[in-house]
Amino acid sequence: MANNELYLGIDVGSVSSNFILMDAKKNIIEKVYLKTMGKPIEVIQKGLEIIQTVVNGKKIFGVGTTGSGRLLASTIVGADIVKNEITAHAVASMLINPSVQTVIEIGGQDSKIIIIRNGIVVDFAMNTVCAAGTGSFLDRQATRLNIPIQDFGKLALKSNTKVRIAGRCAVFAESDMVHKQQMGYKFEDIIWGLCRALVRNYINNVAKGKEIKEPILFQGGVAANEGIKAAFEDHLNCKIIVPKYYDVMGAYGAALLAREKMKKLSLSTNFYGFDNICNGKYSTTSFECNGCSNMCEIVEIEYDGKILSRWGDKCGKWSMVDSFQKENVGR
Amino acid sequence: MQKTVGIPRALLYYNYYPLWKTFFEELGCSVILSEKTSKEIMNRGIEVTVDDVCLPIKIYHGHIRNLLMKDLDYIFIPRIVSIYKKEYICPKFSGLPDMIRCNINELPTIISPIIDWSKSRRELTKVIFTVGSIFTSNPYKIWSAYKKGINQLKIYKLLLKQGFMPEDAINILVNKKDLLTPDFNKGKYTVLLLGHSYNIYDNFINMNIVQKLRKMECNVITPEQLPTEKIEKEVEKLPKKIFWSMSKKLVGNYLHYIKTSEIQGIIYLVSFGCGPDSLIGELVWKWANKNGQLPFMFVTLDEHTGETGFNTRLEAFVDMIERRVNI
Repeated sequence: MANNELYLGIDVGSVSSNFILMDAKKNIIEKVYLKTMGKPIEVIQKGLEIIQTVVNGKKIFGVGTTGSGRLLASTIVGADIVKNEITAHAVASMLINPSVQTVIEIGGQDSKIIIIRNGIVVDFAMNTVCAAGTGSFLDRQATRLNIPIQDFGKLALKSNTKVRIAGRCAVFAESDMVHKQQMGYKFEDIIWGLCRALVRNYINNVAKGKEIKEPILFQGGVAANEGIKAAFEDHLNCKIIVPKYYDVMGAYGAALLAREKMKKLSLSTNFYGFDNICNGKYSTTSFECNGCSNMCEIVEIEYDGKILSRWGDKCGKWSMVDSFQKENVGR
Repeated sequence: MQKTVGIPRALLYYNYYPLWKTFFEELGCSVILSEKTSKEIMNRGIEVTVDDVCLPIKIYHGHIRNLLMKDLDYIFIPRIVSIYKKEYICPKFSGLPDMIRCNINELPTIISPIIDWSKSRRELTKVIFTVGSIFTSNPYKIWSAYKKGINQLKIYKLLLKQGFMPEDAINILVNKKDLLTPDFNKGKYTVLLLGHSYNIYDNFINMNIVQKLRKMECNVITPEQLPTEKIEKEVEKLPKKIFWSMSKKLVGNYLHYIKTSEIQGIIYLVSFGCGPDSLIGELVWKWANKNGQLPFMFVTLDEHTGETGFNTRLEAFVDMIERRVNI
């Protein structure tokens, strides 16, 4: 029976959506990394379609969702646990490396630092008002310079001159890069300069004042960028570990948390089933409620013509539908 | 005919409303309060203010404009410079009536007494009578209105000390409800919520943080719950006097609670661009980091209405407390 158990972790982020399928022994059987492209529902359906092909008659025992789209994802798939990204990432990191003390996570629009001591999260921080240095900014620069994002990091490693790029703000960084290009600096030097600027920005803003101790795990989509990794190592003067599943650690954490909850409370899953989800017709609408001066923006999710969930209101007038959501949707 | 006085439900409303309301009502006025902060009020404030001011000031403008839709004879915008000797509050408060005059047209008569107790409180009586004589020439009536107002304020502060949120406390005062024992401190953990009153008590600005924390089984302690003597006792030990009254309160709270075992975490709410907090917040944060014993989190607030990022931080913070406590 235990061999039949599978757990699903879903991390719907601003830029990418990640899915992992985990067995009872916490091994990752399959991982799927897709671009969200602003269409979270379709991406969830697509991701699950891929996952379904490896399920092989086994059963889903629990589903966890995380990421900025965790609520939506949970509504669509029927999740058992909905967790914030910080906790999800921390849980996965501690499994991969039980002695981990620092987690650097840089995603599409968020960057975070998680400080762990003796197996518990003791501190964390996320970027506040500035998204400089996150994946979407790097993507944008790569597109502007017309280099595939995959080659970005490798190119940075070729540099052996330190060109200084302004790192305080994405707008400054971009204009500084343009100037340096016009002055004839070498491409790879500028890119290496950018990597270092982004790391500086991260250390000064996100990791401000935190004690960064080894072992350090670097995860999230940007961890694929060897240039940024090298710049971190250069700046901190220590080794940075990029875990094997660096890009799906959030989803992994969500699956682990789902497993933990289901085991502890011996519950059966809310999961709606692959066929129901993949073949279902979901649609969303949003509108501004005029009931009062709060003018809440309400989002409504429909499944096969039936209202699945609504949210966004402050008063509960619209989101009340949540309570009978389960009867409405076939399991 | 009865005169109407409008009071915006913003900024120091949370600290002094019972006094103001009672004072004007005792003088025969009817007091009209602006509606609760909403997106509409925020938008109307943003429309008329410069980009650089903090969100609470923008929202104050919105409340003034909300009041203008009502039939008012007067609008009450005190010019508060200093409340305690050798202390000040944020300069935006002393410029408030001017800011409103510049940014908003067609205002009714503004009542804006200058409250400046930085040197002494000698002027107090003068201020009371100047404002009071707009409505009556009877000095006894004015003085008694003030006394009654102060009484109400005392009860109000007692309610806050017990943990009631301002809206509830005002409700109890206005509707003369019996003093109920608070039934909200039943959570597993206790969090000290630091921040200016107009941020931690305005549920629109703070995205309902108190309710959210309570839902996650956290009790919430706010700076208004600690007696002034205890605050004074803590800040006396500092090498230099903190001359911002509101910031002093926050520092005193931090220093007091950090020594007790009453709290499991501290959340500091800051408005983006807040001047005093850019220094005091930094100071508290440095101490907290050095101390390292308690989870501490800064949350910066501005005009965004998307709550996901805010909820993520809050949930992660409570998770952190939970896992720490349960080890």
